[in-house]
Amino acid sequence: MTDLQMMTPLGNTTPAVEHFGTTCIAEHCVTELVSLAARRGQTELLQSCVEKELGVRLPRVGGTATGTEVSAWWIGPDQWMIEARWDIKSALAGRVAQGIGKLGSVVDQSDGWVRYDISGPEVKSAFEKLTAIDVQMMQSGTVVRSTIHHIGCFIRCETARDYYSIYGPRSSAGSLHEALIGTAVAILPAE
Amino acid sequence: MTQVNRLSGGRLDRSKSLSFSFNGKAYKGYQGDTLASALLANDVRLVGRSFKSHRPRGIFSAGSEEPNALVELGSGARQDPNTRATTTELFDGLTARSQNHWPSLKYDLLAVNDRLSGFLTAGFYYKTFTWPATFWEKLYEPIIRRAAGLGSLSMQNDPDLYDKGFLHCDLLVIGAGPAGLAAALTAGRSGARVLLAEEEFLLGGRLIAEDMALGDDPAAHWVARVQAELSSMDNVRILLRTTVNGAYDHGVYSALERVSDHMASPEQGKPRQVLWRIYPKQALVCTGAIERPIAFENNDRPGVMLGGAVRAYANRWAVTPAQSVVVFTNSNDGHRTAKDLLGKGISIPAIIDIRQDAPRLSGVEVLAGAQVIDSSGRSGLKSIKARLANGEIRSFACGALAVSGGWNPNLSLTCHQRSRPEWCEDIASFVPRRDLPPGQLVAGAARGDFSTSRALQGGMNEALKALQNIGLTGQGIELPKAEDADPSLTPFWHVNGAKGRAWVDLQNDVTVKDVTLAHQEGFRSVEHLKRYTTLGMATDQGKTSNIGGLAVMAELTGKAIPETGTTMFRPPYTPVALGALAGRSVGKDFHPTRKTPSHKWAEEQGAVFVETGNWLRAQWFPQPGETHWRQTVDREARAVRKSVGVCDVTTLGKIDVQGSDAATFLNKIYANGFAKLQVGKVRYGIMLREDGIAYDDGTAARFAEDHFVVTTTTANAVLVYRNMEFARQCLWPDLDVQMISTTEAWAQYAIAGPNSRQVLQKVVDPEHDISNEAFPFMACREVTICGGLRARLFRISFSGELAYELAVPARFGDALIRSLMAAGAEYDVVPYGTEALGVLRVEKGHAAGAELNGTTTSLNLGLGRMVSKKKDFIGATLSRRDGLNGEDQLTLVGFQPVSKGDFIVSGMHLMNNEAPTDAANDQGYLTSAIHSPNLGHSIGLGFLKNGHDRLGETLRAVNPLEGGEVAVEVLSPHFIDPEGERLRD
Amino acid sequence: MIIPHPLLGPRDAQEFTYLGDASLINRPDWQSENAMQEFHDYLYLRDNPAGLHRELWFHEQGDRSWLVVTRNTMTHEITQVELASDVARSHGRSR
Repeated sequence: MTDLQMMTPLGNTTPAVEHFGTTCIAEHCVTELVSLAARRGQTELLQSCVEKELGVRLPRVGGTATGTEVSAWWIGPDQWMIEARWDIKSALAGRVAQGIGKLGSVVDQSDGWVRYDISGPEVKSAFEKLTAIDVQMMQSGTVVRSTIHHIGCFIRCETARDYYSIYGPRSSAGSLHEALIGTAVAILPAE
Repeated sequence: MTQVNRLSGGRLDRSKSLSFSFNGKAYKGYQGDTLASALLANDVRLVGRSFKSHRPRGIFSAGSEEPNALVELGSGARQDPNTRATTTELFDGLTARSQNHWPSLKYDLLAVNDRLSGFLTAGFYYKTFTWPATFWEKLYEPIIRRAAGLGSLSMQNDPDLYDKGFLHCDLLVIGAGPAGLAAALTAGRSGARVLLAEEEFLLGGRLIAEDMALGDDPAAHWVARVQAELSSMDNVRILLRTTVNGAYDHGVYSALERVSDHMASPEQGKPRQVLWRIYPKQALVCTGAIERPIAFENNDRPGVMLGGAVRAYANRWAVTPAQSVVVFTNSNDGHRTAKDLLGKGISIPAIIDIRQDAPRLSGVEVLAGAQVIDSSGRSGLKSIKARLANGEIRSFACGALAVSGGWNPNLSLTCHQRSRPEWCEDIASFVPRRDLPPGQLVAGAARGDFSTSRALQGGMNEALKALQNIGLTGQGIELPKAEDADPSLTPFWHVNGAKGRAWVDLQNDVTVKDVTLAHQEGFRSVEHLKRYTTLGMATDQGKTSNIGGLAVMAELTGKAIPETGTTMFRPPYTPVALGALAGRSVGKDFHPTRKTPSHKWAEEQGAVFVETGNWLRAQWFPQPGETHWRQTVDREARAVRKSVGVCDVTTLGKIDVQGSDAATFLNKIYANGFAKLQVGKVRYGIMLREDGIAYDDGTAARFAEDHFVVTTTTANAVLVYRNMEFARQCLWPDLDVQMISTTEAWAQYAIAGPNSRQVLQKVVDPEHDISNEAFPFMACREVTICGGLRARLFRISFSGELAYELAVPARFGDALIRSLMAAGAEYDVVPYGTEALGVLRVEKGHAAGAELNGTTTSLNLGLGRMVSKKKDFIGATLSRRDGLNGEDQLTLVGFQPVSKGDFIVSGMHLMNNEAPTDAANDQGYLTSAIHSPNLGHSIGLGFLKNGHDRLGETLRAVNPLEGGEVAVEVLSPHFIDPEGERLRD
Repeated sequence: MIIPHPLLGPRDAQEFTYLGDASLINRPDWQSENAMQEFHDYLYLRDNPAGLHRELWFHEQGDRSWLVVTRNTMTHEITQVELASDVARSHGRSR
């Protein structure tokens, strides 16, 4: 592997983790992402192939699915994002591509996104200031794509009302981080 | 003396005494006061001057309908003009000042306007200052602007934070009076998600403003019990200090929450206000009613107040505006006021009741069939004059007059989507129509149900209806027994026969005579009346005046009020600070900032950044000793041509296109052909709009038969992606094509200059042969670098030199540029910024954004031959239009000054030498102009009529805007290496 | 405004980008005899109805679907929302 030093989306060598009252905002850098789109007319074959190769059933609209090694979420008609939940090094894109052959189109997205994990009992109030999506009513294991302070993001509900992952464009990592922190501070209980 | 007008009781915390100042003078109030109630308690009656006539004005109401008591709060950057004292919650240390006077509130020189009242009538702006026209801007307008207007701005940046937020619920209940509380409780108990928004800082509405029982207890006890129960429910959220300001399409509501306005300053990191966007499934408007005055001569003095407000001050705030209060009314509501005040020990010299059959009230002289015809007291009411039923005139000494002309349902939110209200004879007022906006219901006084009993019942019933509408079931709740008084009244709008002025609109100084005059002058439509007289405009939007104006108008036209009409209600219901509308999108946070992976490295190099879209790009990298940006840019551009430079081109849009029809698809979106592009090759491509105009250019690299990577310009990345999705989904939906943006995933660097290959060879892993033979011009390949890192290498050039672009996963961008700089050290590699990039491309004659300016075709750009005639593509047919292909087409050529010392600038227009400088003789224009460090003089690109045929000609480049003219020579746009040998070397 | 997305349910209109009349789907045949005139009409001639209007919206901040939204221009009431690709196919568009 290369001798080049990796940087986190925020431009540091280690991910940022910060606490504001009970709210934790953590930059999450140990996942691999690939997007997967079914070739025309191949959706069903792709489904079963992915299930066989990756151990995960590609989810329906707005859903997520979690296997032992990878999870998947729906991003658009016949399109999904696959995330390696364990560090299997940057082999994911190649592995997926090889597994599915011409049934789908695979694009490595690992470096396209910044992921922030935001957790704590007050986070649902934070989302009220961040997005028009009704995050409070999101069920565990669902994903929506919308905007946070004009930044297009995926919001994935890990544990309802308590733990969410936000995926935003890597180049806006700083602005997104500031938005999250500003809101976490704004919802701190009054002194 | 302090708080001479303070009574006993009220909803105040008397253990918390608060200090505040008004016009520099210190006063005391209590927790629970508004600024208005505290001023009244301290017998401060004069609080401001009117807008036009600078008449002394006092507190008129007890809520957000206040037309008069507008003050300036705070100081320094927090100075906040035009704030209603009636809704300003008192806090310790509050400072307020009156507005619209000079030099002081008491001695206002502009009160001369009051003496000129005959002159300042309706439409006076339109009639005066009309001649000579040139005087308007320089003389009249500045004077008028100084004299008119109310508060003043701090002229400093707002130091506070404002948030925006989004709320979802099953039922939004707007207003927490009897109807709202009954509704919230009904829906809350059913388990529905309820949002209860209350404008005030206490729940209860009129329940805490009246001396009233609910069941066997004072109403306040019931309010407290309901509040406690609602607060205990997880599914109910109460928003206090929150005004629902607008009802929008599809049942979306806006609300302003004043989070910190009741504090001297917000807590660190907390917003001053939050602008909420609310998405309720159903919304129930329980906004109550607003009392209306009766106009009579000199009815604007401080001390003339709405009766319901006087009652609210006495009951809720334990304040009377004066020790002696006369009541003027057309219904039993006035009697209620008198009764409550009597109970508090206030003297009531008389109730002037216009009704001939006015009921009696023990302990007070009720003058049935009487009318108030005048008042006196220059800066505060001293007495009123009444004409009795028998014609006799009597004066009453009093400090305040409580006026009640009836109540108007506060139906603004029901009309924000164009709905007009309908007339209800029973209460002589407008009520909401039955066809409310989808998802909206209305209950209580807002619907015209004025008794407390009917309000409670209505709130519950409408809440049940709302639940049913969204498939939920609720159960009725046990409602307390409440008053059920008959709201009937004798409609009465203004006292006839006034010789002087009787105000209809206090805020805008519109009198009965103004309305009459407007009518005489032909302004018959209500909308015209409003704009001509300004009736109903400004901060209060005529909440207490519109109906009075309509009534006068109706009398004049001989029509009924509903036939006369009503003006449109528009959001916001109360004024919203611009800061709240902006939220956090201010200053550097106006939009998100996009940074490339090597941004920190560029900062370390001292880069000067430029915003391109949301991106920050290094513009140039100054070295010690360089004092002017051109020195830096010249050095960078020269270094690229001489040896090698590195430029961050990460910001270019990158779209991954795959599928068995990928090539077919690209053939349709690019004007030139892509189907035959070999795998491992890159091609320059140009995209047209359907009208034939070029809108973006870039390259597409073919990595496999069914895999391309399309690059777009930085600025158009989003647009190109959108258009490609349009083509994929809407035009050719059965092509097997999959696309996704990968702009963010790659850090990409241009390595340009004769030594670029040598530098690259030190970075690219040795198993990849990048020699000229193995990796020629326009090749692309997936390679590994620096010991196994996957990367993409493209041999493309914007500068005209031997050049490459190298892309790596974004997390390695920082490390890569450091490696490239280290590898290039022996060749004196320089980082170069966007400015040098621009210089290099102009020298080479490459078109960019300035040339693809939304008016130019591929023919104009000199790319006409590229455009395929054998296939269909977006823009194909219309690019062949005669108009875009006829004689005299503009074509892209180069220019240099005839005298090399001269400078040309972009935007200059080209004129023939002998022809005059005018549009008719325009030959074209310069789009890009630079100083070429490699040629040593100014050069430019531009469009010239038939430019290709005019090489060698001299023209005049003129700058009519700033002056100046330069003789220029027309050249090929390719100033450097016109044969392109360097690229292929 | 709220657009009821056929796949995702009600979503705020702020997530969408507006293009215009849904007739833009009906791109003329470039080889038709009258292609120039047809393209002219396609691009420049639009109905401007006071009432129901079928129009194209792109869910840019969502699933990237192009939608055909039927909206009443008088009331903004949205009566139908379809995936534009389905509409395109139903109009005979294919490859």
